[in-house]
Amino acid sequence: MMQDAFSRCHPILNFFYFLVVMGITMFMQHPVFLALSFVAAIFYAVWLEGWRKVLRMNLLFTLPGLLITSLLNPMFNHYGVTPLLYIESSGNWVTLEALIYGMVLGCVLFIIILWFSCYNQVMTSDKFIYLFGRIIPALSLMLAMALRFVPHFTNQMKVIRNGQKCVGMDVSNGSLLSRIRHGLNMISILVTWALENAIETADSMKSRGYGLHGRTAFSIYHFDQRDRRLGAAMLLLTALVLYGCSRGAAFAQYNPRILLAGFVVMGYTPAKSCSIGLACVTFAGFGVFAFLPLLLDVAEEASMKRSRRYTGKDMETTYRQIYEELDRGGQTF
Amino acid sequence: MRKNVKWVAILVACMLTVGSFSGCGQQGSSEMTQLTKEAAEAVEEETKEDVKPLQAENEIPANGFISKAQMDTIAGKKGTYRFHGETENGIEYQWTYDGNKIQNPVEQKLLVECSEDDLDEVKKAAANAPYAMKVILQNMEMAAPAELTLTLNEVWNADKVLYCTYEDGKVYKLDDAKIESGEKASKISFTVTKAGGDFYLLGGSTTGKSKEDADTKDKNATKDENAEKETDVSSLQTGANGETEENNDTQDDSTQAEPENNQTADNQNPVHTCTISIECSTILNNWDDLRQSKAEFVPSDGWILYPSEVEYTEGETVFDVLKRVCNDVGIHMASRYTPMYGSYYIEGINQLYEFDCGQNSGWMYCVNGWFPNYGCSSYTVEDGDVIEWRYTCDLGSDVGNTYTGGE
Repeated sequence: MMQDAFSRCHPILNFFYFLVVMGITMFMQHPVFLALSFVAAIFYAVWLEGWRKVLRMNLLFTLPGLLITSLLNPMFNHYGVTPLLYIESSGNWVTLEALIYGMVLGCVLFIIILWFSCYNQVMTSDKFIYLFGRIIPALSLMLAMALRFVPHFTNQMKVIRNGQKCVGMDVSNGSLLSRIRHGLNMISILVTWALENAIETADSMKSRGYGLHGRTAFSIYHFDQRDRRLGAAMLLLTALVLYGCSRGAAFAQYNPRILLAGFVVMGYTPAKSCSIGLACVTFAGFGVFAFLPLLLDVAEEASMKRSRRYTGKDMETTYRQIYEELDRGGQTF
Repeated sequence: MRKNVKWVAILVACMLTVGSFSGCGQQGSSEMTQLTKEAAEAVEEETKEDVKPLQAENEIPANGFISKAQMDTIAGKKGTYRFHGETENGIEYQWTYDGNKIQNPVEQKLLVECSEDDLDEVKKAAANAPYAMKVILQNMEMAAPAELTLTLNEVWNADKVLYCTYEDGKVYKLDDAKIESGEKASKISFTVTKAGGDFYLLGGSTTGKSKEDADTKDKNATKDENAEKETDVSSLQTGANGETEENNDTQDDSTQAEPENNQTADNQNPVHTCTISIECSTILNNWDDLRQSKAEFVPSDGWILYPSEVEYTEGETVFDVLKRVCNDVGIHMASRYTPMYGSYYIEGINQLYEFDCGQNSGWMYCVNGWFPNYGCSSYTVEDGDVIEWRYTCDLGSDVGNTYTGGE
């Protein structure tokens, strides 16, 4: 699959984008931010992975998680001024505030998982190592290895299992006892391999001088004109959003009373509230920021289309000229 | 690379779920304010073998220490247990513990010293009381409120004796002491709810004088005035929730109506009553530490529930009473069952939670002046008990629980 336009930008921009967008989603639990973040994340995930995969993963895995989280919170936390249901034994109330905060937490979880699915498409481990290999060599290598730990093991397990199958020692062969023995044997092989592999990896990285002072690494990333422009835009938007947040544009409180900047919830507004204009600008700023990769992709698509059309016409005239000249029998070369 | 997504997602899911369990913005909770270390009981079991169980009458050992293991032998048992001793100047004293009240036995230091020297200052502060005596108690955590009886070597010609503390030139009453005067000696008994430091017994003869005393002696003067004024249920009122929930008023009315009905029909069943109050005036002194979002829930005078006399049925605990009163009056309350202590822990009342006003803040309860060292659902209410729920900002030291476990 061809990489999308944002993936081809400089890794530092990729990383910065995900850092900001996920940070704001996690720490500013304002519903408008969450909604913007959700829409952007789902569109981008669909753009990167196709809607079928996104839908399947989210319906099977994240949606139940969201429901569980949003129900767990009111069961264990009983703050809030709007009682819904009295629990006789403990004297607690199930409250609207706890329920809503549970939903918010569930949504944050859902959205962050969506963002991570995008992150994994965009921030490949070579980009990550490129960014952090020199600053924190050991940690970045460890992170990169940890991130591929499970898939790596699953693949190796498949290899081992196939090998064992061939000698008739699969978990499907023999009596129950021998099946267990075969299974344990495979795990033993896997663990031995993992230990050996870890030492080998360490040795091979060491022998390549990984993390040594003065070592250079080849990379294909250039910080070009487009990256500069995009970076400036991102910094500007981040500054705008953070300024708005510091002025209370994204103030959200769920305990003990729901207070949301820019909204009147059950007759209450936050005491520290900014003007509606600043709130709207902040929301818009975050919206643009969250949609940046998609905007970039759409812009690229459009300009490609335009240039293709132009190129086609150009070619046409060129060939016509050639043919005309050929027809005239003149010498072109 | 794609498979990574799932594992990162699971990781994040776990972290967020854990986060949501621990609640929104509340730091991990420690239950030190209402429940104290009851652990290490297993260790206790082993040593129990060679501990001599306490009898109904005991002599206080020379160092005055009654060990935790010894106290454990009477914990939760019916009956009273007496400990006899004698001060250096020949005053016999006797501690009386109610086994039932001990749930979480702790070491007791029962040595008492008495002196009658240099008490002019205190006497003067107490409107020139004719009799005074200083009682020095060891610093300890009371396992239960205990009655201390002193048999003096002399006769106090007094009909009213007060058990007091003396601070900054003022005398604060802790308890009314009972006095029995014989031919040669007077016997004075009073309830000790906190130990550690100097306490004073002040005796006066005429009734008129002791009333004068009353003006100077109360530490929480305003508070107890309230307590006296508002001892019937008809004055049940919420200090705080009035503006948040309109139906409070109607609920108040219904609670007003109830006791009158019951009083007319109470001939068959004796009505049990206790007094309960909820108060958070310490927050007013620590306003800067208070979480901003909780400010609107602190009543201006600190009273969430003024002292109110409520009925209860036999066998109910402090927790049951609090739960019912809060529900009747419409005060928010949140509790959590803690299996380790086998008791409910009150996390918050009226939206004011533990840790909302500094790291050492939380709810404590005291019954008749004693802060029990066990959970509120282990304390069975008795007739006439005065239950106070108080918000502390400093592990109890600011609400009068002098023993703060300074190990």
